[in-house]
Amino acid sequence: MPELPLADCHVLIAEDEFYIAQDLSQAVRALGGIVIGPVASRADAMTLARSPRLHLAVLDVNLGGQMSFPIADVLDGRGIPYLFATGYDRPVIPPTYDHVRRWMKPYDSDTLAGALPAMLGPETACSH
Amino acid sequence: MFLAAGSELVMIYNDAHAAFIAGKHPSTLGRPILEAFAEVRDDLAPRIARVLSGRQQVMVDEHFDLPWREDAPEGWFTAIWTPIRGDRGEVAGFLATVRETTAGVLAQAAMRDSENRKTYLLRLADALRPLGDPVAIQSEASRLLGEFLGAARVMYGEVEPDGEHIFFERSYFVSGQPDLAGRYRMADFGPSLVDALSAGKTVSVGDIAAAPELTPTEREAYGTLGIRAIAGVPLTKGGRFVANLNVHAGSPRAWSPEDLALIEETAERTWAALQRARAEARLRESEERYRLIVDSARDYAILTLRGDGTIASWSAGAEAVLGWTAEEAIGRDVAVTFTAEDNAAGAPEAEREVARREGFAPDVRWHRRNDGTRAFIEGSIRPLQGEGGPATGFLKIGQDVTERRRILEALQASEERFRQFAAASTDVLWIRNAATMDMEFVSPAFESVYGTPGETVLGDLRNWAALIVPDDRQAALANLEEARAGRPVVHEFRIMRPSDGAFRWIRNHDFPLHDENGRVVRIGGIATDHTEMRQLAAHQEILLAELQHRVRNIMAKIRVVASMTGRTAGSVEQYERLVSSRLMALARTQALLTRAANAGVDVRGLVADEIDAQAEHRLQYEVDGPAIAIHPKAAEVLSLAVHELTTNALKYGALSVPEGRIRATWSVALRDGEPWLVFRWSETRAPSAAIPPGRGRRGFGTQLIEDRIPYELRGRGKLDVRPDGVECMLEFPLRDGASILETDAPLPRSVHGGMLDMGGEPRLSGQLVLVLEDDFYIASDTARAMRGVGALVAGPFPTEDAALEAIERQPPTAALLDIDLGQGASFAVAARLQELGIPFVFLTGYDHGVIPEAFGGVVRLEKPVDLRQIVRAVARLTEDAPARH
Repeated sequence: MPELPLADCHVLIAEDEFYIAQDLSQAVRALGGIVIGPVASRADAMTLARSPRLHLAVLDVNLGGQMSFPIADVLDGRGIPYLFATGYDRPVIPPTYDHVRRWMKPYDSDTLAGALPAMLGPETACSH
Repeated sequence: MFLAAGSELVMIYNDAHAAFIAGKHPSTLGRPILEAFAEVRDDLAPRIARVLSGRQQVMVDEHFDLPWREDAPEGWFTAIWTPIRGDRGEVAGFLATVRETTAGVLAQAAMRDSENRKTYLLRLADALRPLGDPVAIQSEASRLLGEFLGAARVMYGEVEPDGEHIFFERSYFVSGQPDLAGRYRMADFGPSLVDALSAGKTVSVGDIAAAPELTPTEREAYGTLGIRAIAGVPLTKGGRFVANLNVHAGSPRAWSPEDLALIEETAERTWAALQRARAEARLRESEERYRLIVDSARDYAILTLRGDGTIASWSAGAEAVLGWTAEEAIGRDVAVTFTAEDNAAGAPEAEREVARREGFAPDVRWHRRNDGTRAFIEGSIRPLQGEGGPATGFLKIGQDVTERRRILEALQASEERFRQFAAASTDVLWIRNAATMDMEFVSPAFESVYGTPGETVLGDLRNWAALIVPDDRQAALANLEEARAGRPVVHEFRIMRPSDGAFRWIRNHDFPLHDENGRVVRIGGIATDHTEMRQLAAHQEILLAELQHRVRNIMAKIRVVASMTGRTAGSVEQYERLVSSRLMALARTQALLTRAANAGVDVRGLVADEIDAQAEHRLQYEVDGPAIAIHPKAAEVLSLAVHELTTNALKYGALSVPEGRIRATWSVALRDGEPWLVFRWSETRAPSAAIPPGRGRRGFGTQLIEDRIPYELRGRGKLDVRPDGVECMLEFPLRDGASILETDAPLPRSVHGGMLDMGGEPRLSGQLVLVLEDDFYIASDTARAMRGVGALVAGPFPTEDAALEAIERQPPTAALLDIDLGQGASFAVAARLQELGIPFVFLTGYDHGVIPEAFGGVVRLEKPVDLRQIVRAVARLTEDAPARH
């Protein structure tokens, strides 16, 4: 049986909508990933973003009315790849985050999860 | 008496007769008569023949030439020659008795001559009187004189104003003589003649060929023209030789004093006739001109009145303005041209009375036209004086200004409308001169929009441009230039409002104003404070984005509801029913949430609505709790939870049987010092048998209550299925209500002022900073930057003198000095400040080298200087020095 694409990968999910968070979590787990969270608030997300074992993150831009950019900054500081999920059409995301991929809501959780392994660098392995 | 007898008619005479013969006597005595008087033989022979034929010859005052008598070579004689018969009756000779009547004849002739001259002069006067044409007068006078004198030529000429030429326009001349009319140089007539004439002396030459006063050349010249005798009369008027009448004769002529006098008289009369004719012509011309003016002044009514106010004359303009023809108007009382009101007030008489007394009266009023309409006439009335006497009439002249008045009134109304418009407008209306770019007009709103009185920006363009923040100034000026070039523009720029130092966005519409030739003469504009519009637009944009965000989230939620329901539904029918009712619950929440932005949702309404939506079971349930508004997210979760509970109760629980009861209550409780909403749902008398068996997977409702509430609301949820019905408890913290469009995206509350924005810069409150800078914009920007951090500003001063004076009046606490004020580096102000111990910095475009050593320690800021740098430099200067003001 071939190894799942997200095997042993720790994926932070920050999403304030319960069902979306559940859906995405399931999709990540289905690919062998380990979900960190999901969390609905920025404060919780910030705590988890600092957890030692973390390989990827999916950040809802607006977490219960708070922008998730501080979390992005922490991840950038750690060199952890992440993507933004957003319902915003206009660029509310500052140009500082131009390098970050955006997924427009509504998205299909399985498709998004399927795109996650590619974000890991070729050298990166989630097993350690 | 003498006797001539014999075949040879030998003469013998008495002494008296000897006197007639004079010098010939006595040689004639005894000689045949025709021999003795051979010189006059032709004259004598016929007479002798007649007497010898036997008839007595009676001669009365007959003329005889007497060439031998030097003193009187001709004479008149009354004589009777009687034949003397011989013996045979034949005529043998004749006896003549002779009496000389020369004296009598001459006296008679002189008398007759004088009569002729008088007749001539009368004829001349009669002939000239009717003539108006100067040429005809000259021709006629010349002809009459020539004929009277039997002259060969008569010419009347006028000396031209240059005094050197004379112009004989016409001449009278007998046939065979050349016409000598034309323009001559007077000098060509020879000096003797000209000198005499110029001196006013009449000149006459009886025989040019024998005139010693003429040079041979002159004599030859006259001879060539066939002129033998000449008489020239000069006319001197006002001491000037003005005209000359010349009479020429083809043969020698002894000019008698009477001839010359006659020529002189003729010359005078010709002159007088010409003067009269010319004066008349001028008068006619002037009258014609006057008539032309009066008639062509169509906008002017010109009329004269008799003393009693009746119209005496009426110009074409009067007809055009007032409508009556001259025929209709003349003879009527001028009162017809006055309005009924003015007539009732006696205006026509009053006007004449004032004119009579003052010599003038204005006539500025509405007049009545023939057709009854009114014309506004601006004019006057003046008395017409008789020769030094009282007024015999009046002259009225008036201009029809009805149209002008109408235009003026329209213009005034239009100006008034514009003034009202401009005064009432909350936008600034402004007008600039396109040539000078000077501001000519700003409406009152300027002060509230720009925060400085409108007068402060009149004139120089820079007065306005200085209000704009430096970052936007060039672009604003460029846009203004666009309008000046004929293209309307709309542009926005920031100003720093002097009244409160706030930065505001101004939206300006600039448009060219053209003259009738299409040239841009002015630039007009409308300026509005656009700050709030911009903030609102930005906010609107955020709201729109939030809405988009929300819609997408809902779509995502629907997707999840659909898929989650799919995992628990037993059949397609059940799936359809569940999905659709859940979506309805979601929709109801949305309706509640969007009903009022930023408002929370009342728990009671939410719960009752949700139960009612599914069941008409009002008697089976009871809701009870305080009025509490909960935030949108909580409302959404709570309403879905109540929806699930109701669905379950309808199907399996308390609402599935008539005796079943539901009690939904809520309250607020403190958990860790935070208010929480505690919601309870309890069913009683439900058919326990109907409780569905537990399934392998948690149902949608259970998950919602037990998982979603903790996740999204950070609360707790517990669902128990007991024998007599469901018991549910939900609790979550009450947060401040945020709207469905909640966001912490920054709302623009203030405008950034670019390089003038001193936010975050050190405050300089209490400092008095002197600014010496001659560049207009740098000076005003620096001053505003200083004021922006709370400093007072002395200046800005463009010259050292002004700055020095200000220092003496009130010493500043710090200073900014531009070294180069257009006339090379100068340090007078720096020296004075140093004396006084006042710190300062230099603003300079210079190398440090030009600054004297005495100021070596002074901070230098090189242009272009960032305004924040200036503020910081001044702040450092004043850190140590205490504020003095």
